[in-house]
Amino acid sequence: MGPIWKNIQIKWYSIALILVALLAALSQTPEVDTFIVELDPLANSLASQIFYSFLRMLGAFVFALVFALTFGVLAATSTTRAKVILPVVDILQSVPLLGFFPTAIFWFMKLGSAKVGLEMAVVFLIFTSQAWNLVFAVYDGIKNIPESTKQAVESMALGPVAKFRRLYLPAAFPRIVDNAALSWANGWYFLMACEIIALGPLNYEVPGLGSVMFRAVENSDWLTFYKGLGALFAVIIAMDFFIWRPLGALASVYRFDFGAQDEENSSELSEDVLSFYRNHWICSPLHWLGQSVDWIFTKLEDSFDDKYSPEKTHTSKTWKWVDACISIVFWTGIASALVWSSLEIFEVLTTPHPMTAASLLLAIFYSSLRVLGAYVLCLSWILPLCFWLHRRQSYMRWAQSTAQILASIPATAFFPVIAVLSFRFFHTTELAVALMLVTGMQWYLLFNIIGGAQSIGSDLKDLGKALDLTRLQYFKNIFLPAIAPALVTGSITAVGGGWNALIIAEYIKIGDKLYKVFGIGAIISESTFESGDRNLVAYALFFMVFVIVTINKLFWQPLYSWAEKKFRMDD
Amino acid sequence: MNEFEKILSVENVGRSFKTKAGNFIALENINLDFFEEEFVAIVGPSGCGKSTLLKIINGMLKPSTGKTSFRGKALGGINLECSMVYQNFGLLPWLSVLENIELGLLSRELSNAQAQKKAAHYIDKVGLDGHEEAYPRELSGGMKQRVGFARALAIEPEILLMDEPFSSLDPLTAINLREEILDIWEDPNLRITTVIMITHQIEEAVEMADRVIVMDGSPGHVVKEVKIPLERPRNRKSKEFDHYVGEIFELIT
Amino acid sequence: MDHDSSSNKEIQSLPAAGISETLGLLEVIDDHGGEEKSYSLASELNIETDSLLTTIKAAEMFGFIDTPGRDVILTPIGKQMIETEMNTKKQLLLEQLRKIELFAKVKEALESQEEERLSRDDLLKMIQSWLPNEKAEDQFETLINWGRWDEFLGYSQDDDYVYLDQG
Repeated sequence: MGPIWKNIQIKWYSIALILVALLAALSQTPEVDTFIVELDPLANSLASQIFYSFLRMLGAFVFALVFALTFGVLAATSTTRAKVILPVVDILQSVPLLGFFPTAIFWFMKLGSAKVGLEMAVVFLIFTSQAWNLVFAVYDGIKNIPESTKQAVESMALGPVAKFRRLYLPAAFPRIVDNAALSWANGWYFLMACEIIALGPLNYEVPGLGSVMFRAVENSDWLTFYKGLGALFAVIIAMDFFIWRPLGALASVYRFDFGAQDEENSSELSEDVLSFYRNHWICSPLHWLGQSVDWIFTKLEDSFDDKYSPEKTHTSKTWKWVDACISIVFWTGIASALVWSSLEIFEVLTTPHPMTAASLLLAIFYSSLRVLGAYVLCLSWILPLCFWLHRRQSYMRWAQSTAQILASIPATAFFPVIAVLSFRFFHTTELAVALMLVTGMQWYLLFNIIGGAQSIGSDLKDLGKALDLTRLQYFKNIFLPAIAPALVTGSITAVGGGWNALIIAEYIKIGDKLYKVFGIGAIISESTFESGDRNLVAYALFFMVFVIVTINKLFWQPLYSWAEKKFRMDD
Repeated sequence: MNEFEKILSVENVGRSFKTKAGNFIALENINLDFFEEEFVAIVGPSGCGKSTLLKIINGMLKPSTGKTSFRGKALGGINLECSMVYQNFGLLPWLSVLENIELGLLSRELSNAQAQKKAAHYIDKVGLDGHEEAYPRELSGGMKQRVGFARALAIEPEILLMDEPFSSLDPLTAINLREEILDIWEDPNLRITTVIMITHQIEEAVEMADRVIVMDGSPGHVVKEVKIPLERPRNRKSKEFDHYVGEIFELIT
Repeated sequence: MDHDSSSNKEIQSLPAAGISETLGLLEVIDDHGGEEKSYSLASELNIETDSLLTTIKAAEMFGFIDTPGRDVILTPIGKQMIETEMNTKKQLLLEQLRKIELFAKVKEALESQEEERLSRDDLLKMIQSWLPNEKAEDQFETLINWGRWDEFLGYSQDDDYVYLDQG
C-alpha cells in the first residue's frame, strides 16, 4: 500500500471538485423576483397538492433514471470515463441541496415562462436528490455481470443498442429497484425545501404537499400539518405495496446471484400483486406501454445497429469515427467546464470578504462536533437494539419492516415542529438540531448494522455459548468485530446524511421566528436565504464539500478497507 | 497426417496488456495451425494465456502482434464462424432456455420464425426438449451447459471453442456431456468441423482430442504439440492412454 | 434392494439426481464391462458415497441398473440407453418414467383437472400428502426435472402451472 495520495486518485478528485464548484459559481442573480404560483381555485384541496407533488417526483425520477442509465453505462464501459464520472457523481452526492438552488433558478427560469421555468426548477432540485445513488446502482449492476456472461454476449457481436437493451439494462434493473425506494425517500425528504425556493430577496413557491405543510407550521395550523403528514404517509405506504414490493419480486429473476436476499424480500403477497399486474385485463395499459418500449428499441436497433459490422470490429471506420466523436465531445466538455470553473473559483476566493477563512473553519468545526454528537447518540440506541434483536430472530424481521416504513417518512417534515417545541420547552435550539441530525442519520446506521448482524453465522453464536462468554464479552469480542465493515459503511452514509440534514437543521425560519445556531449549515442557509450573497455561498459550500470529501478519502475509505480485511467473514 | 484443409491459423501472435504496474505480456510468438475435422485440446497451468489465445482465435481480442486467419483471410473482427462455450455457462438469468438460445441468433439476420425454428432444432439435438420455458436457475449445471452448447450450435459455426466446459460439473455429468459433445462433433449433419477445447485436466484432453497443445506461461507460449492417434472410444485404463497422459504431464511440470 | 417399483403399493420418493448424472453413471458402469462394485466406483470417480448412492437409486428407479448386494449391474435397457441417440434415449426415459408410481399419480391428478393443469402450490400440497416424510419442494424439483426431460411434464414458472406435455 503505497503513499496515501496514490491511493486516493487525488488528481481526479481535485478535478472533480473544481468541476462541481461550477455549480456554486453559477449563482448570478436572476431578474425575476418573488413569484408564487397561484393555485387554481378549483384545485385547492389536499388531494390536488399531493397530486402535483407526486407528478413532480415522478418527473424528476424519470429524468434521474435516464441520467443514471446514460452515465452509469458510460462509466461501466470504459475505465477512463469511469475515472471522471464516478468522482464527479460522488462529490455531487455530498453537495447539499441548497448548492443547487442558484443553478436551478438561473438556468431554468431563463428557459421557460416564469411558471413553467419554476416548475422545471423544482423538478430539477428533486432530481438532484434522486439521481446520484442511481448512477452508482447502474454502474454496480453492470460491473457485476459475471465474466462468462459478458464474454458470451460480447461474442454474439450485438450492436450497441442491442447490447444495452438485452444486457446492460436488464443487468442494472435489480440494482435500480433496490435503490429506487431510497431515491424516492430522498426526494420526499427534500420536498419541502424544493417546493419553496428562497434565495435572498427572492422567493418562489409552487403548490404542493411540501409547501402546504411548511406554511401550515408557519401558521400553527396543526390540523393541516397532520393531514398533510398522514397523506404523505399513505402515499408512501401505497407506493411500497403497489410498486416497490412487486418490482422487487419481478427483479429477482434478473439477479445473477439469486440468493438469500430474495427469499427474505419476496413474500407471497408481492408475488400475487405482481401476478395481478401481469395477467389482469385492467392492467393492459401497462402491457401496451411495455410493448411500445419494445417497439421503440427494435426500431432503434434496426436503424442504428445495422451499421455495426461484427467482422470489422477491429478495423471498422464508422465505429472508430463515432467513438472518436463521443470522446471529443466528452473531453472538450470536461476541459471547458474545468477552465470556466477554475476562473470562477479564483475570482471568488480572491475577493476579500468580511467572513474570514478562520471563522468559516470554526463554523465547520462546530458543525462537525454536532454531527459527531448526533452520531454517538444514534449509536447509543442502535447498537444495543441490534445486539438485542440479533439474538431474537423472530423480532428481527418485524423490526426491519417497521423500520423501513418509519424510514420513508421524511423527517424534514418534522423539523419545524421539533424546532418550535424544543424552543418552547427547553429554550434551546441545540437540542432540536441534535434531534434533527439524529433523524437524518439513524436509518442508514440501523439498516447497515442490521444487515451486518444478519450475516453473523450461527456457528459464531454457538461459539459464544460454548465459550460461556458473558453478554459483554460476546458483544466486544464477537458481535462488534463481525459487524465492523457494515458499521463503517453505515457510518459513512450516516455522516453524509448528517451533513445534509445540517444545512436545514442549523437554520430554520418559520414566519418571522428564527431558529439558528453557529455552524457552516447556518452560514450557507443564511447567506442563501437572507443576503443572497453568492460569494459567501460559493465559499462556504466549497469549503464544506472539500472537508467532507477529504475526510471521506483520508479517513472513511481506508478505515473501511482495514475493517474489511481484518474482520471479513469468509464462508 | 492431416489430409484435411487448414481452417484457421494463428501467425506470430503476441498479446500484451497495459496494467497499472506496466506492460504485461500474456502471449508471445504463438504459431498454430488448425485443420478441418479435428478435435484439439489446449492444456497448461493457469495464467499461461490459454483463455487469451482462445479469445484471439474468436476475434474478440485483437492481437498486439501477428494475425489470425480463417480459411486464408485475416480476421478483422469477431469471427462469425466460431462460437464458444464457457466454464460458467454464461447464460442470462432473466431469459428462458429458448430465449437464451435465440439471443445468439440475433445478429444473424433471421426472422423471428426462422430463429425460433433453428433454436428448437438445436434444443432437440442436445436433449433440452421440454425445457424451453425453464429459467437457468431451475436448471442443474449439466443442463445449463447443454443450453450453452445449444446456443453455440444454433449459429451453425464451423469451429466450436470451449473454455473449460466441464470444470464446473460433477464428475458423472461431465462424463455424460463429454460423450455427447463427441457425438455432436462426429455428427455429419452438423456444420461443426473443428473443436478447440481448453482444459486443465490432462486425462480429459487425452480422452477427447486428436492433438494436445501444451502451453506454459511467463510469457504464454507453446511448449509442444502431442498427437493422440488412439481410436475412439478411448479406454482410460489402457497403457497407451497412460503413456500420453504421462508424456503431457512431464511437459507441463 | 427392492427394485420392482411397478408393483409397489407405497410410493417411492424421488432421489435428488439429475438425468445427466444418471446417464454418466451408466457410461461408467459400461466402461467397466457392465458391472462394478459401488464403493470402488465412488473412490474411482472421487465422488462422495452419499451422492453416488442417490444417483444409483435414480438409475435403479428407471430400471437402467440392478443392484444385487453391493454390485451395480447394467440392465439391457440401460445398455440401450448408452448406445442410442438422443431421441430414442428420450423415448426410453418416457417409457420407464410411466412405470414410476409418483409420476402415475401426478398424471392422474393433472388429468382430473379441467385444463389438465395444476398450480405449483396445489401440486406441492398433493406431493406432501403422498410423501409426508419428504420435503415437497425437493421432490417437486426432481419431478419437474425428470418430467421435462422426457417431455412428460411441463412447468411454466411465469404462469405458475404444471401441465401434461403432449409434445
